Parts: sequence; structure tokens; C-alpha cells
Amino acid sequence: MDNNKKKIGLFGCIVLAIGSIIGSGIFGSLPAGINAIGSSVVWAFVFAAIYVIALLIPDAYSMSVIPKSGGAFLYSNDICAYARISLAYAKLKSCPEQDVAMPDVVLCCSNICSCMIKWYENLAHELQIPMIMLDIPFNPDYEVSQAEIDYVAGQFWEAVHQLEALTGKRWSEERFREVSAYSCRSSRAWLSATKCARYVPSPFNGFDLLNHMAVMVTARGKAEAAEAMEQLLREYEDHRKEGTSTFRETEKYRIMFEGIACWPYLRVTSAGLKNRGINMVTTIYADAFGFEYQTFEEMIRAYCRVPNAINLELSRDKRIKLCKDNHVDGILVHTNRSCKLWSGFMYEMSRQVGKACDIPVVSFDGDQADPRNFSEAQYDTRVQGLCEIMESRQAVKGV
Amino acid sequence: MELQQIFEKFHEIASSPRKQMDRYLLAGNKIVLTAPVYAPEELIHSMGFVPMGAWGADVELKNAKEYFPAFLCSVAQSILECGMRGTYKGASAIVIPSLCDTLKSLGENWKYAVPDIPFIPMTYPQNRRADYGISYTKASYRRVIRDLEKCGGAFSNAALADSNAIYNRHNAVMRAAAKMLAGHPEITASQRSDLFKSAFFMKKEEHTVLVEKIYTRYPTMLTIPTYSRNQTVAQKPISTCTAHSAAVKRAVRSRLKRRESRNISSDSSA
Repeated sequence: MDNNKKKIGLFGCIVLAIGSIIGSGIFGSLPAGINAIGSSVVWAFVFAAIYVIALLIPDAYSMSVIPKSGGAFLYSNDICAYARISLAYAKLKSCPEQDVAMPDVVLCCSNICSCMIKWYENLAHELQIPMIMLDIPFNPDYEVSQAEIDYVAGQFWEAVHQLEALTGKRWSEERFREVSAYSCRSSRAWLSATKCARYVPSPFNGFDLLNHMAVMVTARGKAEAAEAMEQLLREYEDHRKEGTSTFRETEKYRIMFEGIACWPYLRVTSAGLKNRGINMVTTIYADAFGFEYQTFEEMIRAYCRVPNAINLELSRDKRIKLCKDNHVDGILVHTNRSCKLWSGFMYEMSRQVGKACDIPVVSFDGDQADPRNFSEAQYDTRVQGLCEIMESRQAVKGV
Repeated sequence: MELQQIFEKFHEIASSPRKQMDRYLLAGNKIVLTAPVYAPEELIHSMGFVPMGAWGADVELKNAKEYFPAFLCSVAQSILECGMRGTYKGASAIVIPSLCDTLKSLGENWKYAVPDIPFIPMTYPQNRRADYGISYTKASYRRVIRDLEKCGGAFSNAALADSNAIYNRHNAVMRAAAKMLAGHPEITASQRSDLFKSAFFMKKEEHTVLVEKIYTRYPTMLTIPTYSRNQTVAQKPISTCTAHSAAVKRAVRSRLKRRESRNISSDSSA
């Protein structure tokens, strides 16, 4: 990995600074300057140099305080923070936590958002590697149409041919069936495990799902993943039989967590609930990584029905089912600055879910990856508010 | 009509689209709003509606905040704001293409925030050149046609061919106007903006006539091609896939080979 590191030397650094200071304006304004003051324009350069140096001193000082490599590249804060982290890593190829291998090809699937497309186009450009685009459009209808399935199926085969041409490896029907079987087996066990939240009290702390989910995201087509998920299911069933739970507090309230986890503050968001006896028993985010299908067409249909690719009504109904199946008392909504699509119709959808299930809905501002967009104090206040509403409703019901 | 008068007309229409909408409604026309970007105006026009651009406005966002978080695109938010305030009242429908994440949300929110103006989605594929992409685009257009029929429109291939010819002519006139005006700095940036913006609020055949009047005021007339009903403009060959070059394939294969050989040697050393 170290061999791949690109370093900028002193000369490169000076050239980079000069390049970022001098623009095309010098070519336009110089003739006008000469015309106005003739050969005295040389003095203008001297005065300009003094001004520029004065301007650069604070920059140079602040850069020396944060001595990070990466160069003068910047992506807007309005872009998804996952994309920014990924693009930054592609630039640095190193991070304190754990290094990862660089790709030879990027396969982009757009079923979660349109930002993915530009993210991966940038990755392909930065790393000078080919990109294969698998487009699964946002479906404005409740059902997946045959037209959408045909479109995605056409692209699947195109992607297979492109990968064959790029890598020299051949498509194998047998291997596809094997991987699909593992994926479905992992998914069945995973979805059965998350459904254990229907037991009261729940045999698990819902924040556990956010950890186990990593296996489903990255390895669901492997035998080891299927075995791990089956083990998880056995553990949850055992907890239920023994009356124990990975939720270490007394479960006073059960909520659904809406949106992607606030990863930089996982401990804070978890503790804020646990300390009040609130168990986050369910989230659509966890179930989104389980896919059950029998045929190739059904597999495509499943990938067309992931949370961010479906309309408000289907999104709402899936959540209503989760809330009702898992006896939820309230909903905590993460208004995620990074995820425009997830947050874009969240207000209306969560209002409808709350109304249909007759439960309170409270939201907080945060971000799936950028730590600057979260306030612990705001989170705590909102959770406190939700807790008070659930408490008063339980008092009315005489629970 | 003097040049100044023509641009005053463009300005009037560009700065008061509601008045223009009322004029069309009074004349018995039906209006279908078109949100950014690439709404299939030709289809809407051919089915007997007047397509009118709904690209938001410089308004304070108040009602839209009930639906959108503050950090979403302000253009989409202001379209919803105008819809909720009744600015578009009287429109038969709004067509919103889902070309970005905020536009997807705009359509979903519109159904509940502005229930009296039906939402018609238009979904474009990203891989649009291959056969499957063309089929999917056609299916999306058919979806728009079905929804417009529910609003009282009638589709025919002949009417679509007529509308295509009108739009091709308008596009050509606008391209020529942009080129011609580049040599006339006395026409201000605001006037150019009015010229283009007014096209969103007028029937294209009417706008074409008005733009053509500019040409009669300038001696440097450009040649504008004419289009027949069944003529298509795009003649580019359509490839079936985005094939990667031989050099790219070689680079990927050699990287994979190197890695595999590294893995084999590390396995054997283990």
C-alpha cells in the first residue's frame, strides 16, 4: 500500500501554490496595465508580490498546523459524506484506521441515489480505471414494472459481458447459482433474526443490528456469512427462550430508528436511548440488506425495491409493517444531511407512518459520516421529548 | 414591431408567467407544468396542452419547509412553495422528471402538498443508448401519455410528428438567435435572459414567430434549417454498449494477473 502513496515534494508544492494563485486574468489585464503606465508596470509586479506574500502567510501558517497530504482538491460539503470519504481515500490511499485495497474496476449501481453516479464517475476518473454503470431508476409506482425489470436485466448481462472483456474471466451459471443460494440463505437467516424484535422484551439491542449488518452489506454471497447469520438467529432465539437480551437495561419503550445510522456518534446515539430504557428494536436500514428470491427476474425485482428506489407509499407501508410487527411505541427520525433522497420526503412519510400506527414521531439533525452535522445536545433534547410523550401515553393506557 | 418592443414583450412574459397562464386558460387552453429538466414537452404539446415551465421563483420558503429539510435544492423547494401557495392554480398536471435526488423527492412530496394538481413522473434511464435503454425510455413516455390522457389529452403519432416539427424549428431558431446575438453586445444580458425564459411560458409556435421578428431587424440573418414532420434531428449512430478500449482491458487484466501471482506466492510461502 505504501508504494502507492503519491507525495508532493518542495518543487511540486511551490508550483501547486503558484498554479492556484495565477489565473487567466494575468493575460487579460497585463496589456491594459502596459497601455496605462508603460514600463512602470514592473513596479506593479513588485507591489503585487508583497501583497500576495502577505496574503499567503496566514494560509501557510494554518496549513502547517494541519499537516495532512492530499493537495488542493475539494468537494462541496453538500455532497454525501460517504462519497467525500471515499474520494478522499482514493486520493490519499491511506488512513489511520485500516487501509483497503484500491479497485481495478468500479461497478456503480444507482438504486440508492443519483449521487452514486457522480461519486463513481469521479472515482473512475481519479484512479484511471473503467466504470460499469448499472442503473436501477427510482420507481415512482408501487409495483415494479416489467419495463424496469427488462431494462435492469439488459444491463446485468451487459455488465457481465463488460466484466468478461475487462478481466478475461468467464460467466458461470453454476457459480451464479451457488452465490445466489448463499445470498438467499444469509438473507433468510438475517431477516428472521431481525424479526425476533417482535418478542417483548426484544432479545437484542437494535444497535447490534447496525454492527451485524456489515456482514450482509459486504459478504452476503459467502458461505461464512450464511453461517454467521444462522448463528446470530440461534443466539437471538436462545435469548428469547432464556428470557435474556443483549439490551442490558429494562426495556421500557420500543422505537423504530428511521434513516441511516449516525455513524460518527453511534455510541452517543445508542447511550442516549439505552439510558432511558428505550430499545431501538427495528430499522428499515437493517432489513434493506436481505434479499430473497427464486429466479433471476425475482432477484432484479428485489434490487428494484431497496429503500431509496421506491415511492413514498411503498416506503410508508414497509415501515408501518415494521412498526406494527415489532410493537413500536415511537419513531426517532434521523434527518441526514448527507442523504438528500432519504431525507427528501422523510417528513411527509414519517408523519403518515406515525398517524397510521398512532405513535409519536420525533426527528433530529445529523449525518451518516460527517461529524460536523450533529449536535449531541439537540439529540438529547429530542430523545427526551420522545421519551416524555411515550411515557405519558403509557400512563394513559395504564401500562 | 421595433426591436425594443419585441424585447419588451419577452420581458413582460418572462416576468409575469401567471398573467400568461391566465391568458391561455381564458382562451380555453389546458396547462401542463414542466419541472426541470428535460420534461417531454413535445408529448404534452401534441396532446393538446400548453406546456409551461415551473422552475421555481425567488420566493421566501415557508410552506415548503413542512416537506423539505432546509439543505435540499432551493429551486425544487421554491417549485413546491409556489404550488402550495396556489401560484400554479388551474394547471391540469405537473410533469417532474426524476433526474436528481431532490427532483425524486419533489414528485413524492407534490402528491400530498399540492393534491389539486396531479403529479406525472417521467423516468429517464442513465444507460439510454442501448436497446434496453431505448425501450425503457419509451415505456416511461407511454406512462406520461397514459397520465395525460386521464387529464383529458389525446395522443396520436401524427400530432406528435407535428409537435416535433414545431419544436425542432423552435430549437433551431433559438440556436441561431444565440449565435447571432453574440455579435450584438447592445442586447443586454437581461434581455437575452428574457428571450430564453419567455420560451418556457409560451406555445413554442408563438415564441418562434416572435423570435423570428428579431431577424428582420438585423441584417446579419443566419440560415435556419427547416424541419418536416417526420424528420429526426439526431443522426448519431447509437452504440449498444459502452465498450472499454483495448488499452483499458489490458491494464485491468495485467493488474489482476499481478495480484493473482502475488496471492499465489504469499499462499505458498504461508
